[in-house]
Amino acid sequence: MIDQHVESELHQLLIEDVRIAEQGIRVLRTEDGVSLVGEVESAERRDLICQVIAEAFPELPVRCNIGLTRVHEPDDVEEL
Amino acid sequence: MTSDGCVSDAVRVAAVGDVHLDADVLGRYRPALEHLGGKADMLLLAGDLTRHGTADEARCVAQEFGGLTVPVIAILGNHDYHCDQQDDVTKALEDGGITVLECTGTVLRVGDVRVGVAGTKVFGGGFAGACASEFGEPEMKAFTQHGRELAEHFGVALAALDCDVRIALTHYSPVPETLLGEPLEIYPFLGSYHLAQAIDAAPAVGLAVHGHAHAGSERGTTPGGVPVRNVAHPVIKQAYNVYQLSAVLTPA
Repeated sequence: MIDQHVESELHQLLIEDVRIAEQGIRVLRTEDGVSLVGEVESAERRDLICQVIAEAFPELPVRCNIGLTRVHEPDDVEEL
Repeated sequence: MTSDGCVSDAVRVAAVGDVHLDADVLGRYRPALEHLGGKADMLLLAGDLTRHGTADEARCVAQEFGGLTVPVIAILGNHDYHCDQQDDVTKALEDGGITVLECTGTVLRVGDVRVGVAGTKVFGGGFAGACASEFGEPEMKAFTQHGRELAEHFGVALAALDCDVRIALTHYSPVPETLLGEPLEIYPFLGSYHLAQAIDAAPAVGLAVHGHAHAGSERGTTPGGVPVRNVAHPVIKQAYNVYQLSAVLTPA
Protein backbone atom coordinates (compact mmCIF):
# COMPACT_ATOMS: atom_id res chain seq x y z
CA MET A 1 0.00 0.00 0.00
CA ILE A 2 1.30 3.50 -0.83
CA ASP A 3 2.24 5.79 2.02
CA GLN A 4 0.63 9.06 3.04
CA HIS A 5 3.36 11.12 1.38
CA VAL A 6 2.50 9.76 -2.05
CA GLU A 7 -1.20 10.26 -1.37
CA SER A 8 -0.53 13.87 -0.39
CA GLU A 9 1.58 14.52 -3.49
CA LEU A 10 -1.11 13.04 -5.70
CA HIS A 11 -3.77 15.20 -4.13
CA GLN A 12 -1.75 18.37 -4.57
CA LEU A 13 -0.97 17.44 -8.17
CA LEU A 14 -4.67 17.07 -8.99
CA ILE A 15 -5.31 20.60 -7.76
CA GLU A 16 -2.13 22.50 -8.59
CA ASP A 17 -1.15 21.06 -11.98
CA VAL A 18 -2.59 23.63 -14.36
CA ARG A 19 -3.56 20.88 -16.79
CA ILE A 20 -5.90 19.39 -14.17
CA ALA A 21 -6.99 22.03 -11.61
CA GLU A 22 -9.57 19.71 -10.06
CA GLN A 23 -10.44 20.09 -6.37
CA GLY A 24 -13.15 17.44 -6.39
CA ILE A 25 -11.21 14.28 -7.18
CA ARG A 26 -10.61 11.91 -4.26
CA VAL A 27 -7.52 9.74 -3.96
CA LEU A 28 -8.26 6.40 -2.30
CA ARG A 29 -5.45 4.06 -1.38
CA THR A 30 -5.90 0.48 -2.56
CA GLU A 31 -3.79 -2.62 -1.85
CA ASP A 32 -1.47 -2.06 -4.78
CA GLY A 33 -1.99 1.56 -5.78
CA VAL A 34 -4.67 4.22 -5.85
CA SER A 35 -8.18 4.72 -7.09
CA LEU A 36 -9.18 8.16 -8.36
CA VAL A 37 -12.85 8.89 -7.68
CA GLY A 38 -14.98 11.84 -8.73
CA GLU A 39 -16.65 13.56 -11.64
CA VAL A 40 -15.41 16.01 -14.27
CA GLU A 41 -17.03 17.96 -17.08
CA SER A 42 -15.46 16.28 -20.12
CA ALA A 43 -13.89 13.01 -21.26
CA GLU A 44 -10.75 14.92 -22.25
CA ARG A 45 -10.29 16.10 -18.67
CA ARG A 46 -10.74 12.59 -17.32
CA ASP A 47 -8.20 11.17 -19.73
CA LEU A 48 -5.74 13.98 -19.02
CA ILE A 49 -5.92 13.35 -15.28
CA CYS A 50 -4.92 9.74 -15.75
CA GLN A 51 -2.15 10.74 -18.18
CA VAL A 52 -0.66 13.34 -15.83
CA ILE A 53 -0.76 10.97 -12.86
CA ALA A 54 0.87 8.22 -14.91
CA GLU A 55 3.66 10.61 -15.97
CA ALA A 56 4.31 11.73 -12.40
CA PHE A 57 4.09 8.26 -10.83
CA PRO A 58 4.96 5.77 -13.59
CA GLU A 59 5.30 2.80 -11.20
CA LEU A 60 2.01 3.40 -9.43
CA PRO A 61 -1.03 1.34 -10.45
CA VAL A 62 -3.90 3.81 -10.90
CA ARG A 63 -7.56 2.91 -11.28
CA CYS A 64 -9.54 5.73 -12.87
CA ASN A 65 -13.05 5.77 -11.46
CA ILE A 66 -13.78 9.28 -12.71
CA GLY A 67 -17.08 9.86 -14.45
CA LEU A 68 -18.67 12.69 -16.41
CA THR A 69 -21.21 14.80 -14.57
CA ARG A 70 -24.59 14.43 -16.25
CA VAL A 71 -26.17 17.48 -17.86
CA HIS A 72 -29.72 16.35 -18.51
CA GLU A 73 -32.72 18.62 -18.08
CA PRO A 74 -34.45 18.32 -14.68
CA ASP A 75 -37.98 16.96 -14.67
CA ASP A 76 -39.01 18.03 -11.19
CA VAL A 77 -39.29 21.10 -8.99
CA GLU A 78 -38.63 21.21 -5.26
CA GLU A 79 -41.23 23.29 -3.42
CA LEU A 80 -39.63 25.03 -0.46
CA MET B 1 -49.42 33.09 -16.20
CA THR B 2 -46.23 34.71 -17.30
CA SER B 3 -45.18 34.82 -20.93
CA ASP B 4 -43.00 31.80 -20.24
CA GLY B 5 -45.89 29.80 -18.84
CA CYS B 6 -44.83 30.00 -15.21
CA VAL B 7 -47.49 30.45 -12.56
CA SER B 8 -47.42 34.09 -11.55
CA ASP B 9 -47.86 33.57 -7.78
CA ALA B 10 -44.85 31.31 -7.49
CA VAL B 11 -41.20 32.04 -8.07
CA ARG B 12 -39.17 29.29 -9.67
CA VAL B 13 -35.43 29.53 -9.34
CA ALA B 14 -33.07 27.43 -11.44
CA ALA B 15 -29.55 27.10 -10.10
CA VAL B 16 -26.26 25.35 -10.73
CA GLY B 17 -22.67 25.96 -9.69
CA ASP B 18 -19.20 24.63 -10.41
CA VAL B 19 -19.73 24.14 -14.13
CA HIS B 20 -16.02 24.82 -14.84
CA LEU B 21 -16.48 25.84 -18.45
CA ASP B 22 -13.75 25.84 -21.06
CA ALA B 23 -13.82 25.22 -24.79
CA ASP B 24 -14.01 21.44 -24.27
CA VAL B 25 -17.38 21.78 -22.53
CA LEU B 26 -19.00 24.28 -24.90
CA GLY B 27 -22.46 23.18 -26.00
CA ARG B 28 -22.80 20.50 -23.33
CA TYR B 29 -25.36 22.39 -21.23
CA ARG B 30 -27.15 24.13 -24.05
CA PRO B 31 -29.75 21.43 -24.90
CA ALA B 32 -30.96 21.42 -21.28
CA LEU B 33 -31.15 25.22 -21.26
CA GLU B 34 -33.37 25.55 -24.31
CA HIS B 35 -36.58 24.95 -22.33
CA LEU B 36 -35.51 26.84 -19.23
CA GLY B 37 -38.04 29.63 -19.82
CA GLY B 38 -40.89 27.19 -19.25
CA LYS B 39 -39.38 25.85 -16.05
CA ALA B 40 -37.96 28.83 -14.16
CA ASP B 41 -38.07 32.59 -13.79
CA MET B 42 -34.32 33.02 -13.44
CA LEU B 43 -31.07 31.09 -13.49
CA LEU B 44 -28.51 31.47 -10.73
CA LEU B 45 -24.88 30.46 -11.31
CA ALA B 46 -23.16 29.77 -7.98
CA GLY B 47 -19.52 30.37 -8.88
CA ASP B 48 -16.60 28.31 -10.22
CA LEU B 49 -17.88 29.02 -13.67
CA THR B 50 -14.42 28.55 -15.22
CA ARG B 51 -11.48 26.19 -14.68
CA HIS B 52 -8.66 28.68 -14.19
CA GLY B 53 -10.38 32.06 -14.16
CA THR B 54 -9.32 33.35 -17.57
CA ALA B 55 -11.26 35.76 -19.75
CA ASP B 56 -11.30 33.19 -22.57
CA GLU B 57 -12.95 30.64 -20.31
CA ALA B 58 -15.44 33.29 -19.15
CA ARG B 59 -16.37 33.95 -22.76
CA CYS B 60 -17.23 30.25 -23.00
CA VAL B 61 -19.50 30.68 -19.97
CA ALA B 62 -21.15 33.70 -21.57
CA GLN B 63 -21.70 31.75 -24.78
CA GLU B 64 -23.12 28.73 -22.96
CA PHE B 65 -25.35 30.55 -20.46
CA GLY B 66 -26.00 33.83 -22.27
CA GLY B 67 -28.93 34.69 -24.51
CA LEU B 68 -31.46 32.69 -22.50
CA THR B 69 -35.13 33.65 -22.14
CA VAL B 70 -34.71 34.20 -18.39
CA PRO B 71 -32.36 36.52 -16.48
CA VAL B 72 -29.06 34.92 -15.53
CA ILE B 73 -27.40 36.05 -12.29
CA ALA B 74 -23.92 34.86 -11.34
CA ILE B 75 -21.21 35.15 -8.75
CA LEU B 76 -17.60 34.11 -9.11
CA GLY B 77 -15.97 31.24 -7.24
CA ASN B 78 -12.40 30.56 -6.16
CA HIS B 79 -11.49 29.00 -9.53
CA ASP B 80 -12.59 32.23 -11.21
CA TYR B 81 -9.91 34.10 -9.25
CA HIS B 82 -7.03 31.70 -9.97
CA CYS B 83 -5.36 33.68 -12.78
CA ASP B 84 -5.99 37.08 -11.16
CA GLN B 85 -8.24 38.00 -14.09
CA GLN B 86 -11.44 38.29 -12.09
CA ASP B 87 -12.24 41.75 -13.48
CA ASP B 88 -11.86 40.47 -17.04
CA VAL B 89 -13.92 37.40 -16.15
CA THR B 90 -16.68 39.61 -14.78
CA LYS B 91 -16.63 41.83 -17.88
CA ALA B 92 -16.81 38.85 -20.24
CA LEU B 93 -19.83 37.52 -18.36
CA GLU B 94 -21.53 40.93 -18.33
CA ASP B 95 -20.83 41.37 -22.05
CA GLY B 96 -22.79 38.14 -22.49
CA GLY B 97 -25.78 39.59 -20.67
CA ILE B 98 -25.12 37.88 -17.33
CA THR B 99 -25.52 39.93 -14.15
CA VAL B 100 -22.51 39.42 -11.87
CA LEU B 101 -22.82 40.13 -8.14
CA GLU B 102 -20.11 40.60 -5.52
CA CYS B 103 -21.47 41.91 -2.22
CA THR B 104 -24.16 43.53 -4.35
CA GLY B 105 -27.75 42.75 -5.22
CA THR B 106 -30.40 43.02 -7.88
CA VAL B 107 -34.18 42.91 -7.85
CA LEU B 108 -36.30 41.11 -10.44
CA ARG B 109 -40.06 41.26 -10.78
CA VAL B 110 -41.74 37.87 -11.14
CA GLY B 111 -45.45 38.44 -11.57
CA ASP B 112 -46.42 40.59 -8.62
CA VAL B 113 -43.43 39.58 -6.55
CA ARG B 114 -40.20 41.55 -6.24
CA VAL B 115 -37.42 39.00 -5.87
CA GLY B 116 -34.13 40.30 -4.52
CA VAL B 117 -30.90 38.38 -5.11
CA ALA B 118 -27.70 39.31 -3.29
CA GLY B 119 -24.49 37.52 -4.10
CA THR B 120 -20.89 37.07 -3.10
CA LYS B 121 -18.13 34.53 -3.48
CA VAL B 122 -17.40 35.03 0.22
CA PHE B 123 -14.69 32.81 1.78
CA GLY B 124 -13.97 30.09 4.29
CA GLY B 125 -13.45 30.25 8.02
CA GLY B 126 -15.38 27.30 9.40
CA PHE B 127 -18.27 26.69 11.72
CA ALA B 128 -19.14 26.66 15.41
CA GLY B 129 -16.51 24.88 17.45
CA ALA B 130 -14.07 24.47 14.57
CA CYS B 131 -13.46 27.82 12.98
CA ALA B 132 -10.57 30.14 12.31
CA SER B 133 -10.00 33.09 14.65
CA GLU B 134 -8.30 36.45 14.33
CA PHE B 135 -5.45 35.51 16.61
CA GLY B 136 -1.74 34.89 16.22
CA GLU B 137 0.14 35.27 12.96
CA PRO B 138 -0.84 38.03 10.54
CA GLU B 139 -1.59 35.40 7.88
CA MET B 140 -4.12 33.73 10.17
CA LYS B 141 -5.70 37.04 11.05
CA ALA B 142 -5.90 37.99 7.37
CA PHE B 143 -7.52 34.66 6.44
CA THR B 144 -10.15 34.99 9.14
CA GLN B 145 -10.76 38.69 8.63
CA HIS B 146 -11.25 38.33 4.88
CA GLY B 147 -14.12 35.87 5.29
CA ARG B 148 -15.76 37.81 8.09
CA GLU B 149 -15.62 41.13 6.25
CA LEU B 150 -17.00 39.68 3.01
CA ALA B 151 -19.88 38.10 4.93
CA GLU B 152 -20.62 41.40 6.64
CA HIS B 153 -20.61 43.33 3.34
CA PHE B 154 -22.81 40.66 1.80
CA GLY B 155 -25.24 40.93 4.72
CA VAL B 156 -25.57 44.66 4.18
CA ALA B 157 -26.32 44.13 0.48
CA LEU B 158 -28.86 41.39 1.23
CA ALA B 159 -30.73 43.40 3.85
CA ALA B 160 -30.79 46.55 1.71
CA LEU B 161 -32.71 44.96 -1.16
CA ASP B 162 -36.12 46.57 -1.71
CA CYS B 163 -38.12 43.41 -2.38
CA ASP B 164 -40.70 40.93 -1.12
CA VAL B 165 -38.48 37.87 -0.90
CA ARG B 166 -34.71 37.51 -0.79
CA ILE B 167 -32.33 34.92 -2.22
CA ALA B 168 -28.73 34.57 -1.01
CA LEU B 169 -26.33 33.45 -3.76
CA THR B 170 -22.84 32.44 -2.57
CA HIS B 171 -20.04 30.14 -3.59
CA TYR B 172 -18.94 29.03 -0.13
CA SER B 173 -21.46 27.41 2.21
CA PRO B 174 -23.22 29.13 5.10
CA VAL B 175 -23.89 25.85 6.95
CA PRO B 176 -22.11 22.53 7.60
CA GLU B 177 -25.12 20.36 6.66
CA THR B 178 -24.58 20.81 2.93
CA LEU B 179 -20.94 19.81 3.33
CA LEU B 180 -21.78 16.31 4.57
CA GLY B 181 -19.71 13.91 2.46
CA GLU B 182 -16.68 16.19 2.41
CA PRO B 183 -13.78 15.45 4.80
CA LEU B 184 -14.39 17.21 8.13
CA GLU B 185 -10.82 18.49 8.03
CA ILE B 186 -11.54 20.83 5.10
CA TYR B 187 -14.81 22.36 6.34
CA PRO B 188 -13.04 25.65 7.24
CA PHE B 189 -12.08 25.94 3.56
CA LEU B 190 -15.63 25.29 2.36
CA GLY B 191 -17.75 27.74 4.29
CA SER B 192 -18.27 30.08 7.20
CA TYR B 193 -20.81 30.56 9.95
CA HIS B 194 -20.49 34.32 9.42
CA LEU B 195 -22.38 33.82 6.20
CA ALA B 196 -25.32 32.14 7.95
CA GLN B 197 -25.34 35.00 10.46
CA ALA B 198 -25.63 37.49 7.61
CA ILE B 199 -28.44 35.51 5.97
CA ASP B 200 -30.39 35.10 9.21
CA ALA B 201 -30.07 38.82 10.00
CA ALA B 202 -31.95 39.81 6.83
CA PRO B 203 -35.76 39.62 6.61
CA ALA B 204 -37.73 37.35 4.26
CA VAL B 205 -34.89 35.23 2.92
CA GLY B 206 -36.58 32.37 1.06
CA LEU B 207 -33.53 30.50 -0.20
CA ALA B 208 -29.75 30.37 0.11
CA VAL B 209 -27.88 28.75 -2.76
CA HIS B 210 -24.20 27.83 -2.85
CA GLY B 211 -21.69 25.60 -4.63
CA HIS B 212 -18.00 24.75 -4.01
CA ALA B 213 -18.54 21.48 -2.10
CA HIS B 214 -18.47 18.86 -4.88
CA ALA B 215 -18.73 15.94 -2.48
CA GLY B 216 -21.25 17.60 -0.19
CA SER B 217 -25.00 17.18 0.25
CA GLU B 218 -27.81 19.15 -1.33
CA ARG B 219 -29.98 20.24 1.56
CA GLY B 220 -29.49 22.16 4.77
CA THR B 221 -31.01 24.96 6.83
CA THR B 222 -29.51 27.98 8.54
CA PRO B 223 -29.97 28.28 12.32
CA GLY B 224 -32.65 30.87 11.52
CA GLY B 225 -34.60 28.46 9.31
CA VAL B 226 -33.61 29.54 5.79
CA PRO B 227 -33.43 26.62 3.33
CA VAL B 228 -29.89 26.13 2.00
CA ARG B 229 -29.21 24.25 -1.21
CA ASN B 230 -25.80 23.12 -2.46
CA VAL B 231 -26.12 23.24 -6.24
CA ALA B 232 -22.56 22.23 -7.13
CA HIS B 233 -22.92 20.34 -10.38
CA PRO B 234 -21.44 17.07 -9.06
CA VAL B 235 -24.00 17.21 -6.22
CA ILE B 236 -27.16 17.84 -8.24
CA LYS B 237 -25.99 15.63 -11.14
CA GLN B 238 -28.07 17.39 -13.79
CA ALA B 239 -27.84 20.63 -15.74
CA TYR B 240 -29.59 22.64 -13.03
CA ASN B 241 -32.07 22.25 -10.19
CA VAL B 242 -35.34 24.16 -9.87
CA TYR B 243 -36.68 25.41 -6.55
CA GLN B 244 -40.09 26.96 -6.07
CA LEU B 245 -40.52 29.65 -3.46
CA SER B 246 -44.20 29.71 -2.62
CA ALA B 247 -44.59 29.86 1.14
CA VAL B 248 -42.98 33.28 1.51
CA LEU B 249 -44.56 35.06 -1.42
CA THR B 250 -47.09 37.30 0.20
CA PRO B 251 -46.00 40.77 -0.88
CA ALA B 252 -45.47 43.20 1.97
